[in-house]
Amino acid sequence: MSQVEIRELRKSYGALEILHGVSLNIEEGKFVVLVGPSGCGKSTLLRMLAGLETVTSGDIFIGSDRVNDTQPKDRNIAMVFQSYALYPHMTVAENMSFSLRLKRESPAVIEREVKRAAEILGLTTLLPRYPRQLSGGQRQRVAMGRAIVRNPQVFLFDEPLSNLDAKLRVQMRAEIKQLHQRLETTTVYVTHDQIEAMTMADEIVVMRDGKIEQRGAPLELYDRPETVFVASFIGSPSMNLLRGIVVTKDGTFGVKVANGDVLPLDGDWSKFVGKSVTYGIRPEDISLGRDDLRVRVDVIEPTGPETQVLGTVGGDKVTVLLKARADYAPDATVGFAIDQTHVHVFDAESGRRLTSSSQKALAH
Amino acid sequence: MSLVAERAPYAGRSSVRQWWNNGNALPYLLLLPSAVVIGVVILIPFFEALQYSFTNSSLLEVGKFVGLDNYTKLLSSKDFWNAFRFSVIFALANVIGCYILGLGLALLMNMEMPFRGFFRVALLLPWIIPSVVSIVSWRWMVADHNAVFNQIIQLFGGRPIFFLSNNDWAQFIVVLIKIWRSFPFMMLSLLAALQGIDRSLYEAAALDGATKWKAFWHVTLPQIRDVSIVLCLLMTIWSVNDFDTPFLLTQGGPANSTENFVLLAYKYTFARNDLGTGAAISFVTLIILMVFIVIMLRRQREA
Repeated sequence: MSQVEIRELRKSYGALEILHGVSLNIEEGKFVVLVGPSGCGKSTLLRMLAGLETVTSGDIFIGSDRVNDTQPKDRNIAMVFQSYALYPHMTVAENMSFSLRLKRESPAVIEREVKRAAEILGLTTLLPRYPRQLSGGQRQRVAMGRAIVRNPQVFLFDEPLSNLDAKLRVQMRAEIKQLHQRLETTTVYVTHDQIEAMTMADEIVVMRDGKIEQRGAPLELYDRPETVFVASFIGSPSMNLLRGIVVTKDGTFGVKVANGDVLPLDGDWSKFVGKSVTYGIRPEDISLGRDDLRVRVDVIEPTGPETQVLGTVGGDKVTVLLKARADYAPDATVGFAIDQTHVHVFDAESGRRLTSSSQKALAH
Repeated sequence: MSLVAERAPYAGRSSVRQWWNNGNALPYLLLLPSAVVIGVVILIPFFEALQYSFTNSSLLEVGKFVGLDNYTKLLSSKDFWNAFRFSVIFALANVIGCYILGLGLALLMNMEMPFRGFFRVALLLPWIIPSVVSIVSWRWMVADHNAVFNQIIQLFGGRPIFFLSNNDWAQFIVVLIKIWRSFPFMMLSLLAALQGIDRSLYEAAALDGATKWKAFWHVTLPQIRDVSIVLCLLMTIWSVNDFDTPFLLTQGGPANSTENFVLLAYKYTFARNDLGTGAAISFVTLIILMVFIVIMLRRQREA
């Protein structure tokens, strides 16, 4: 059953359209991450779900109700803000109980709910403190506690980890995921950090310029990006993208790139011969062995288990992630092998994924 | 040997020199100019006035020490209690009036609306215009039966009101014009405080189920509480010490009904040539204000 349904949602500020007709179903209990660069409309979409922004056109359903014109408080949602938005003059307990007090719940109910949320988040000893007496991570937890207390149908998170330092961010990431596994409340989470998206989401929605670029499970997006944008956005270090032309020789196909190398292609690409394409290969799908791709080395970055080689092919930057230790002199030209079963080909003009005739046959 | 001999004369001063060379003297040196200015402008007159308040001095001669005579005479005089009554009314009405008007306008100015920039500047005018100009203009508008206000009243068939000759009206007008002159400061300071409030607090409150009014009560007011207390304290001090408004409008009349402590001190000192009592009034005012401020600040800290 879908818990949140968005149909052809548009948002404009004056003549400027921010969202261009976004449609999205979110199933009950799922953890959905909206990810994209800043300005892609992900936060606007979340705030429209929350009722903090008006809807220009389209519909939003939460549960079975159309909530376009419903007040935020009546949407049965809870939101965690980037700045936490804790009331500075209230203690942790008061912050968490504010919504219940406004509803005039009985003191017994309020105490029970606050206690329950505090226990889930390990906040019990902090209840009498004020926000200013808490660390960033603790404030973050209080903000989540305030959301939990309300027993909402949907949790909304607006870049909740971006104000934390790197170490704490990793820790809170796991905590939020655990919390979701425990409560199983439908969650919509906005971030610009693709690692957060990959690690936390049941489903990722990649947004760009007010549109949904692609949606799917994290590894689906990783293994089969539908556009160059998704290919470059998901994964770190990001996918190598080399411009070239599809060529054929002796019944095999390849892409000829700027430095003259012909990079291998699997399958039958006969209908694309002569076409300009973008050849995508992830850094970890390149290895030592054959000389498929000759790279001029710029920098070597050893991390212990892996060695990252940064270099150029023609004018394009290339990253190679080797599972072995290696050392090359700068400006040396080194040949690498490409795992041709993991090659992604995109139309150079439209940026959309191209599939070989044999892949299509497999898919059907 | 020669080195020791050369150093010997400075041995006694070496600690002072060291203190100086270490830069320890610098903060004191930097504070010196303001300490001198404060001493000359505030402390000397302060103690001189304190000294006068125990004498029967006039403007022409330093009188004899008379102990607490000036104070006892003052506390048993009708004038003093009359000035006390009006000072309290004046300060209280001004603080309350300014706060309500200032906060209301600050809330309005904090909203998106057309011509907001114009209104923000326009509403500051009463505060910017020199007091003599603004108060005298007001007096022309209310003073006699041909003044603008009375012409308007007569236009609608009413009888002219002698605003500054009737005790109640005069007190009302003095307070009203004081509010008109001082609300912009309150408005500006509260507007700054309002703009400092994190907007996401209101969004969180909206999600938590707060109406506009509840958000004002539970978010806005607590957030501007500290600023409000300081502003009200300042307003109180400035009201109690206000000379311009009552002096330029009514000179304390009619029948001393708009006479506050400052006017009373002025009257004793310059009209009655009784410097001792005038100084004593200043000190009683100071003590009353200090007690009030200490109580308020202590309550603020407790809350």
